[in-house]
Amino acid sequence: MSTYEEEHGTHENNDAATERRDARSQFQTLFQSIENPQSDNYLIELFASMIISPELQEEWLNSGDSKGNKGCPQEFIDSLPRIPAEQIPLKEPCPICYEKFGDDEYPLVAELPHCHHKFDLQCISLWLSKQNTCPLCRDAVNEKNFDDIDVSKAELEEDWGMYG
Amino acid sequence: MNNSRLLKEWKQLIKSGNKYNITPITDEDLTHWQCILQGPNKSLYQGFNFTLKILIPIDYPMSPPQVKFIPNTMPHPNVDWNTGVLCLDVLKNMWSPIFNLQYIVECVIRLLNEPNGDSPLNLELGTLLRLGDHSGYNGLIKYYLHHHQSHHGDANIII
Repeated sequence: MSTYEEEHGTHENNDAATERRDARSQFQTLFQSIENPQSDNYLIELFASMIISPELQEEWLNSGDSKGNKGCPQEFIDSLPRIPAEQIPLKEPCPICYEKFGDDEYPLVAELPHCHHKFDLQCISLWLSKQNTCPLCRDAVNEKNFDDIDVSKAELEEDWGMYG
Repeated sequence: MNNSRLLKEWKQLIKSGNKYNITPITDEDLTHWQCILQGPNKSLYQGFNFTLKILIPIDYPMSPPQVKFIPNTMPHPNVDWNTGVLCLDVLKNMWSPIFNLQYIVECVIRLLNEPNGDSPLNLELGTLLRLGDHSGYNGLIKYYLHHHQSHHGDANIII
């Protein structure tokens, strides 16, 4: 007897086949456990674990009405002006991770163009990829001044990385 | 990042006297915290203790912690009585990664003193508050408190 794949002229890759076999054996176990009344609890627990918690539902709802991602475009984050090493206030802590800028051997500190608040580049990049507001003053960081920022600098820096 | 920031917060709390009793429940990871909150003076909650459960997400402080009261302990317009979930803007859309656990607890205390009738999770109390029925509102909160808690700390036992 020919297999499904032969009849339909398709070849599934091995990963998908293994996955399907796994799923099949899981369902087999599941149905066996239905016949065995002692393991009813297992089944109930399994289904209970599939129900989405109210918190998660709320989170999804909240993320839905925000029209997707409110973060800044990656080009904007890449183009954030960095403070020259000699001007970094080493004793000041980053408001996000609370580590002093100077605790890092090679601190990378970014300054938001709109409000001039300073953060570890890594910390602020992570935040701006989620939200477009300054953590300190809540101003939208990329609304007014987005066009004023020299994006070409970011490319220039990338080139430096390539050749330097 | 997650853990070192929480470790810093924990050290700072100890150093500053930790007046709100914010403590991690598990020592090995700092993901589960609780806070024994004293009902603010001159509020209806004075003389009662309330336990806040704080759950830290993986990407804290980029995401806010989940904060709730122990179910059936907090009668308040902005707290769901049955689940203990509370409605607080700084824990949702107004979250900022500069906030820390102590600030959140301070916000919860402010919420206890300044209930908001516009976004009620406890509909009875929310309605009484909006209608301006002070005696009804105060009476219902006292009823809840005295029938579900006894004075000084028994809220912690009710789980």
